[in-house]
Amino acid sequence: MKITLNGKKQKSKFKKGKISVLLSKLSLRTEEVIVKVNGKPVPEDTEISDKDKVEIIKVVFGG
Amino acid sequence: MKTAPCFVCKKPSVIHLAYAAQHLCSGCFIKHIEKRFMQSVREFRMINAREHIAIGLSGGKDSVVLLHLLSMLRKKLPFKISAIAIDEGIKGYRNLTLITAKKECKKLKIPLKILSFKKDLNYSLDAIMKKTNKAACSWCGVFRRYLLNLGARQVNADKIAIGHNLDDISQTVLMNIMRNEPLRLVRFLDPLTLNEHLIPRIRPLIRIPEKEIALYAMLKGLEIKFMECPYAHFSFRQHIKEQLNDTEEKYPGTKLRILKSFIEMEKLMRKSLKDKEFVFIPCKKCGEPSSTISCMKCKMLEELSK
Repeated sequence: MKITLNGKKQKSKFKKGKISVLLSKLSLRTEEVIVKVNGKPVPEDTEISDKDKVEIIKVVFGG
Repeated sequence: MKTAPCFVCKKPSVIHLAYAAQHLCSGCFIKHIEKRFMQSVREFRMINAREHIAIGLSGGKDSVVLLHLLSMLRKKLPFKISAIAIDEGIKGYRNLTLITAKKECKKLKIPLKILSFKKDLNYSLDAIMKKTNKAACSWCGVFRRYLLNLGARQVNADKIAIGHNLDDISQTVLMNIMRNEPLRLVRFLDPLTLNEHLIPRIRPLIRIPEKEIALYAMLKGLEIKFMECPYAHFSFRQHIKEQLNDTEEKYPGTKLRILKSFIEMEKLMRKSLKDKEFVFIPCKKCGEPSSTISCMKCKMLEELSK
């Protein structure tokens, strides 16, 4: 699956399933990111497949 | 793609609030955030009619959302808003968020006053970090608090509104317990002693998780840069933040439970301290209120001048 993480495009072996599983594979915390699928924010229990356009944005930072 | 329906109106959801076992759509989520903000303002009697509220505005998501929520509240309750921004002098970070701060203030017609570490204290944070090994947050916290209070006094504000969210508060509670600083904890929401030079602070975002503030900003179309302070990685807060986010994911509602426990603990601690007297004396160098002969800001500036 092609994903965009913080503006950078990358490939993942993830084919389909819940976003929370994808985040876990990418070592990202659900509490710290917002995921947009096909341009719209969605909850992490949303089921996605490699037909979807997935964008992950880190929104929680330190400081 | 298969998304769960909104708990309220059955439209496609944008978020799952695990701590409440609810999915919410965009419209219902926006209402939920605005309700939580109003609940805190009312419960803690944060703002009274005709008061002058100075917002500590960094240009990041929390303070910009606070600026918009307070500006919205002003349509129902007559009060004055000013914004105070502190430029710590962090190249590639604060100069960028200040652009957002200026733009949002202009959009909402809110006056903005900018104070800077370099201009007002002679050292930018970047310059301080070249001189010392001490964590950036130690310097930044003390100097920023001083300048924010000074700026609020200069605009004659009654209160300072801070964009602290649920994540910030629950981290602070844990940090103060871990550092064995119970007095810091008890005076966190309300000062133990009132002093005319110290402007009281309010935290209207106290019940809203950081991620929800970011989503609210996104859904409202606020142009915010999601950026990280380059010095944040080295802080104790960052460590606590990661631990707390891991715990929240496994045990949803942890942050809210920490806040609720803290509010109860704070009442009990205040009761036990009611006969004790806490006095401020003017700092021998700058005259600002201090618990020791020299205030922390002057002690730190002295350390830098060596």
